[in-house]
Amino acid sequence: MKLRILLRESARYIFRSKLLFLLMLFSFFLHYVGLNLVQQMTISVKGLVSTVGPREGMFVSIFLSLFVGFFLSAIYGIWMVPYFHQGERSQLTFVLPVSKWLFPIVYSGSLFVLVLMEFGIMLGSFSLVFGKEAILHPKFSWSALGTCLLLEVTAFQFLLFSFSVLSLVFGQMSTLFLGAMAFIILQVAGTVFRFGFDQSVFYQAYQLLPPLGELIFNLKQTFSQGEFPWGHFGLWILWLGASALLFKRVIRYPRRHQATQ
Amino acid sequence: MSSLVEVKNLEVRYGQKRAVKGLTFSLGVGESVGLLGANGAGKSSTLKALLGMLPSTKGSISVLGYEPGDYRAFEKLGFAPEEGSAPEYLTGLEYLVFVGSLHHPNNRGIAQEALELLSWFELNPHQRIRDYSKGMKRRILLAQAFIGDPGFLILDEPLNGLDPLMIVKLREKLNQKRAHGTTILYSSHILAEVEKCCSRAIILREGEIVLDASLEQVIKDYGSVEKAFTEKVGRS
Repeated sequence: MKLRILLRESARYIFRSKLLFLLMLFSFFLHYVGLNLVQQMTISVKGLVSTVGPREGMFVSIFLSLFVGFFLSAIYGIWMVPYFHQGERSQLTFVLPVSKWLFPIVYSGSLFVLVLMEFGIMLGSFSLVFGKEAILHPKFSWSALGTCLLLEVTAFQFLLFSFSVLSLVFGQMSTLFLGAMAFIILQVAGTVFRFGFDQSVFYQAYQLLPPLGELIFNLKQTFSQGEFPWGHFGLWILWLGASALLFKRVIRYPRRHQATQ
Repeated sequence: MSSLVEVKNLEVRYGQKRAVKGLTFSLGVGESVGLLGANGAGKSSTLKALLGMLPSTKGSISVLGYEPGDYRAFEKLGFAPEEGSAPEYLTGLEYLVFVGSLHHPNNRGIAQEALELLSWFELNPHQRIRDYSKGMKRRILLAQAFIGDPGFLILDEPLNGLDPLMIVKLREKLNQKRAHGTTILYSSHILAEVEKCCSRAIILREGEIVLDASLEQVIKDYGSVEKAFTEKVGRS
């Protein structure tokens, strides 16, 4: 019952902050325009010219969803979640008669619903550009799409709690820069390690980090070859659990505003 | 009289500084206790330690039979912080209904109770909190502590930012609550108010209790709370 009350309140907050509206607008714009551009492209391989079909279009959609999801996790984690646990509001949130465990559950659930909406917009835009038949076609691989989206959702949930923890501890602007820096480093590392260096100590350390730099490769592998990266998925789950635990620990006491805000 | 709050040898530190030093006291059901002290005496730190908002470095605390910070204790108490800001995207009514329904999830009359409280605190129920004046924002903090009619109220400097008429009204409300058996822990530096609505005074100086007595005893020994405070805190 209390979980339902908190979820309803979280939905009201998201709705009134206009995040939902902006997400839908941004997501639709990105998917619709992006897919239209892709559809008009032609690929020439050894003189053989072909157009981009629904299958390639779906992979572009998944890639665009990844981008929107990162953006959404960052906004929700850096700005929206700390609103209740920091500064003047934190004491009032702290004395609410609910277990502190409910907060990560509510935030995770809220992000999940937002991400599902984003996926809905993604499929809607895809249908508009490639036609409904492309989705209803028997060769359309729902399982490949589903596993890709599962990977993405897990990564977004981890990012949500990581951003929230960093924002509560270091402040919002610092988190934005730290997050961007970590993102770039992991992406570059993911690409560089594809060209070797797999005996280096850095590679050993990289393998234990959240597999952000592997995500695009994993999505491609899952979508085109149907090979689910169980190892990286397990690592995402471990990091998600650790970040949720850390979040619960950080909200153990009301927090002051950070100076960087 | 059974104890709602048991504090034994409590110590709270901010880094090297000891804000609260070896505090021991208990609160019985139905007591109305004024926690007094100069600025920095440790009043807010004591209240925050009771609520689990600050870790204690020594001693033990039990609030309504629970460890500090246990949400089950929060189901039975109302707290108004000295400073704070309710979620500004909500209206006064939405906020009180939200807090009240967490205290009593099955109470269908919570909206009516919220409306009555808002009317009592002279607040527009349908106005967003962001559009409230400073005084109204202060009053909504107090109103949320009363929602659900908790049996234990913790009020940190509740008179700050209130106009004189509201102070009189609040005093009457607190006296009514006290008459109905609500336990009140009330931190303030307005000594005359404490004299009017508390049955016991605890005076802190530099984190230590220098006086803990019934109001009757304080009046008998010192003549007034103000005189007791001046003598114990050492300022004229």
